[in-house]
Amino acid sequence: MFQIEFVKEIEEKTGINVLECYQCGKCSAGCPIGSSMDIVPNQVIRMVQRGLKDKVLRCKAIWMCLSCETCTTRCPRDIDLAKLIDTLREMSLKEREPATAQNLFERAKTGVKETLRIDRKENLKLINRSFLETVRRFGRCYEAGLVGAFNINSWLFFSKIKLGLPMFLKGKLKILPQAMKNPDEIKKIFEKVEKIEGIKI
Amino acid sequence: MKYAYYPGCSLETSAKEYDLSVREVFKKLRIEIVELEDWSCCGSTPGHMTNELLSASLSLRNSQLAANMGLELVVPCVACLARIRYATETMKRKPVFAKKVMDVLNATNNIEVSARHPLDILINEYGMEKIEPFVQRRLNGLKVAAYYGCLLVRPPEIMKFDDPENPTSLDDLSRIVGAEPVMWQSKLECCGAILALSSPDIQMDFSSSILEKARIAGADMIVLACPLCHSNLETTEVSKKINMPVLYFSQLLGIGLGIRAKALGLERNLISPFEVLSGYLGKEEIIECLE
Repeated sequence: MFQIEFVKEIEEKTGINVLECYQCGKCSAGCPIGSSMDIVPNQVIRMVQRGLKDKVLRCKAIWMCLSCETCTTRCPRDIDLAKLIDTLREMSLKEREPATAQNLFERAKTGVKETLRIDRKENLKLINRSFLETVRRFGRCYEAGLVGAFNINSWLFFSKIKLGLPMFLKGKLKILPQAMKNPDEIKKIFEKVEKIEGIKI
Repeated sequence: MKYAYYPGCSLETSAKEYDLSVREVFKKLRIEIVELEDWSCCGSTPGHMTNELLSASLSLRNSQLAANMGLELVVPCVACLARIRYATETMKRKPVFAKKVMDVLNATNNIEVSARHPLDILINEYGMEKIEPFVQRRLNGLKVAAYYGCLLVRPPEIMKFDDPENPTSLDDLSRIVGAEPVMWQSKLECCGAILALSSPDIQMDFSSSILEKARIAGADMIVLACPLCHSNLETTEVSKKINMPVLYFSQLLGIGLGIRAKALGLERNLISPFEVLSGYLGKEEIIECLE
């Protein structure tokens, strides 16, 4: 049986009718990161068809997708699957699992192996949040600040450190953030979006 | 021909050589570009993964700036370009969404500004026959692997450029300057994109595979059009001690147009291209870069 409410919710938000998917599997076949996912792209849309909202909003797959757009390009039913996955990410952040600082102390209690495990899903959410934080503050992405914030919050203190020196020597690493004349305009955009969407970015 | 120029965040920092070389090439070909006044971040990948309204508002603020200048946009960064295109498209399809974006940006009309990639403008607007007479150096014997990545050509309904499964624009551009594009497997494979930060091991696997396929095909260098691909391939090479130069298409074209290496930012590429290019660049030119 198809649970129609979630299907309708998705169609209203994105214009995508997931019932048009006939599970040919072409999306999963072309997905470069499919082998690292807990469920593959055609299973993601299958879960949406089946109305398994909670399960699909908590899966790892939607956070492994790197938006290469191969699935969208190849779908014989013209379903924008990359857009669907974006929407599931948005819904997951809003309704199920907002991006919060990783509870590393809890993880540390379970032992060294668990503490050092790379949590790809949480890492990506953290990168996104750090990036947007620099944009909110400075109006433009502040690469050094973004990597710094990520390193501290993920406890991967030395990630990308080896590249720091060669990049600095070539003038590619700016120590200070880029200056924009009116960064406040960007702050206002964030504030307005948060208000309209009822979210905290 | 005159365009509003939206460099985007990475062209000011890690992809500075892309910015320099696009400006130089356009100047040489007498295509006028005016940088957007006080442009801002498009939100890129984190924006569209977090919230659709945020992504559209951040990117279209820049379209709004171009609209105020009365000019069409040229956007070298494919992420910025994709975000603007997606947002423009969604505004057309969903009037309710359009109203929200206009509210956020204090806009009175719908924002519909044409935005194109510099490679698109050079090939489809300016025309390859018109570039030919400007070529001063022929890179005969140089084998290049034309790497398209993801966003330059996908999805075709949004990017409307070249072919999403068998593109040829970078190959054709290489031929204009006398280089020989190789046939190889990984033209359209993903470099790993944002995973460079969150899952670097996976990203390095993706990038290593691309570099290996280029090597197997006999390429001397890789040529591309995306700042993130450039960064991912180069940083993977630094980690794995590989030495294949990676050039922006504007750098390769610039060399062919006789522009000096330093003006094209060739000394900024992490993997030095000077050994491979030594047969085509002047000695003083290379010395100027290495100082």
